[in-house]
Amino acid sequence: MKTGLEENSNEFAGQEKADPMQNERLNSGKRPAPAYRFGQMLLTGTAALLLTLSLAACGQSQSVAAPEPTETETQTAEQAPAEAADTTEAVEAASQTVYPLTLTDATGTEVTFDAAPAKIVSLAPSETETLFALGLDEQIVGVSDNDDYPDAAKSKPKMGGFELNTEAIAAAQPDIVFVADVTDDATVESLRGLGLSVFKFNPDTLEDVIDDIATYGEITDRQEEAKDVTDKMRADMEKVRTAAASIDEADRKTVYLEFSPGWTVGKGEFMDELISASGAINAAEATTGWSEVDAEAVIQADPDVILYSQLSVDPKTIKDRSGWAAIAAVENDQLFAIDDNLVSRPGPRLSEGLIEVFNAIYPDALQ
Amino acid sequence: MIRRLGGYGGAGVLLLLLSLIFTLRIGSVELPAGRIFSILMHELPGIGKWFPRIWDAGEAQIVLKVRLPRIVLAALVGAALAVAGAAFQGVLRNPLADPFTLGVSSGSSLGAALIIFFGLRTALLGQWTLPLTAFVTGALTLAIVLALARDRGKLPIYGLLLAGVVMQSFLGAIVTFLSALSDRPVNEILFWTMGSLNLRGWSYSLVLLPYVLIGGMFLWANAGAMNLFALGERRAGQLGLNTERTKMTVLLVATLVTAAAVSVSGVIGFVGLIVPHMIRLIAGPDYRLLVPLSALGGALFLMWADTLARSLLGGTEIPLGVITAFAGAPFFALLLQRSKRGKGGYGSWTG
Repeated sequence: MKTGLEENSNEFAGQEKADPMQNERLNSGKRPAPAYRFGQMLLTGTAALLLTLSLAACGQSQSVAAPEPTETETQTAEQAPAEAADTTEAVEAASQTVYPLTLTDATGTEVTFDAAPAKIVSLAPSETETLFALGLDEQIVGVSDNDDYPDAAKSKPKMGGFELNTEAIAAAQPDIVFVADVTDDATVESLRGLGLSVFKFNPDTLEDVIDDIATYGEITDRQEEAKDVTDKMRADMEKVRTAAASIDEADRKTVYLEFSPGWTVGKGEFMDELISASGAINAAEATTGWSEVDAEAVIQADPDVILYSQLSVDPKTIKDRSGWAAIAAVENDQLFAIDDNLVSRPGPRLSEGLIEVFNAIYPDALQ
Repeated sequence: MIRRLGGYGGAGVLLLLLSLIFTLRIGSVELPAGRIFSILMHELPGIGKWFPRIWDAGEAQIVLKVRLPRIVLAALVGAALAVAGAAFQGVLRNPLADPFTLGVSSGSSLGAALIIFFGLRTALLGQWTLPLTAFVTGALTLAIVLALARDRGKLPIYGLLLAGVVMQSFLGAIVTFLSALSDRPVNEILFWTMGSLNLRGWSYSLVLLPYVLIGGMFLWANAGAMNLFALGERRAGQLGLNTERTKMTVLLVATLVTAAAVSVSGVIGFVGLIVPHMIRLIAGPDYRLLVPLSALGGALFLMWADTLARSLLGGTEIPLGVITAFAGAPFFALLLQRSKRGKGGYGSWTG
């Protein structure tokens, strides 16, 4: 069982279907919304089993555009980033981290770094993607069971998923453990109790994600690499922002999201921000976090486009719902699959998610 | 008897219609009563033309394809569970018997879950596959529970409850495990453990209707026999009743009705417990009244429970089983207390 979970996450990918949101949450590193906690209360007993089993349920994705550093790229990037040449001065000024460095993490704890960490454990897919994007392949000594991108992450030692393998983490003797929102503060404290240095990130917006990547660059003394990543993300966002601004108020589309069967996403989630950044309106904008589909509200909102999870949602189940045939998106067959991992992980690929979402909503609007 | 049935039954039907009108108005989208009325009337042949379209297509969809089918389905599921509960209580002479406490609901949900997880929803028997598989697993569960509980030919209340609880948690664990492993599009686990009627159109009601109608009629036809059971099995036998055969057929039909309900709604507890006891308080212990009135009462009860489930927290659904458990668990405790003291005639039910 264990090896199955570790080696082939795809086998269990459909788990998401049976299970409203855990995977999405594990993917994104976000903590469950209140509505979901209510459900969890009912199922405390079963939840533990479910969650353990669902850990591996992160899909694979083959995105090409991400700045995925190979070993050789990493080395050249360390010496002189050719792409950043036009902003040489600014880069030079920001390129060197001075240790000891003290930063406050999302738990409000001050963490001091005496040197660039040589051994890193990352406990969420988003954090792992960021570390790899900064070329820290060799420094990573452990990742979570869900981490599947880039490919190199799959062969790293696993440190557990929702239920962490504390022994493995301690045995890896990391200089720093990076965690996301999915690791709750109590768990962070217990890890710290083992004498581990833990740094938690908990971004709420796209802008936060970019700031956090810059912070990663500072902590690991990879500021130039971080700037390359954030510059690309900003460029992507700017492209979408410009295109979105040119869309007439009257032409703005309403979008319904379904990223777990029977569940939609409202305010406070990255997916909602991607919709508004694309110049569209989320059909569930009146709700917060994840909530079960309210058929009446969706029919009334009459969305023009439906975006659904590539991994877990069968569009036929949406089209076949009683009374949904009259929805514009269903009538005009405007249902599009979106790569879950691009839009739910607050990491370096989030801006690609934004472009994918924008292109689905307004095809051909992007130059 | 007939006059009393007419009186209570008429009142029940009236309440049901009034509830339909009220619950149709409740939903996350605000719709004026007049418009709902016009939308409904527009659908009727003949007089439909008197009600010209003044609403948009979405509003008609909400009323006709979202709200109305859900309310009707709630009524059918409620009727099914309550009738089954009354029948279980009748032939087992146990006041705490109901599809949920006996583990029949959990057994049926396991069967339904198996069928869905393995993608066999319409294999072999078409739309009958799901309810019939649920029936088989429900009946097996009942057989195991009864075998576990039987003590020297009798079915003591506590033994039955314990056996039911054990089977419930065991089967629930299997369902949870299956849905954890599954890679097929199934409803979330909460549906099977706590029940829901969300996103269910007319097709579900059509599947359930024959079971409720035919099964309900059969159980009603056996109401006289259930009255004899109340005298004790030996006495009933002396009065010329083939007790074993009657008990078996009634248990099987009640299980079938339960299974059909569970396969469209998931496990919804306590309906078959609360409703028949309420009816007993109002109309007395005569099963010839109790069975049909339980159907009406169950329909009413679940209609309102589901309306609360979908409206209490605004747009956020509460699992239907949560609502019925809030009402049912304290009620169950009360009945347990009463049966312990042997009050109200229930004590003699221990057999």
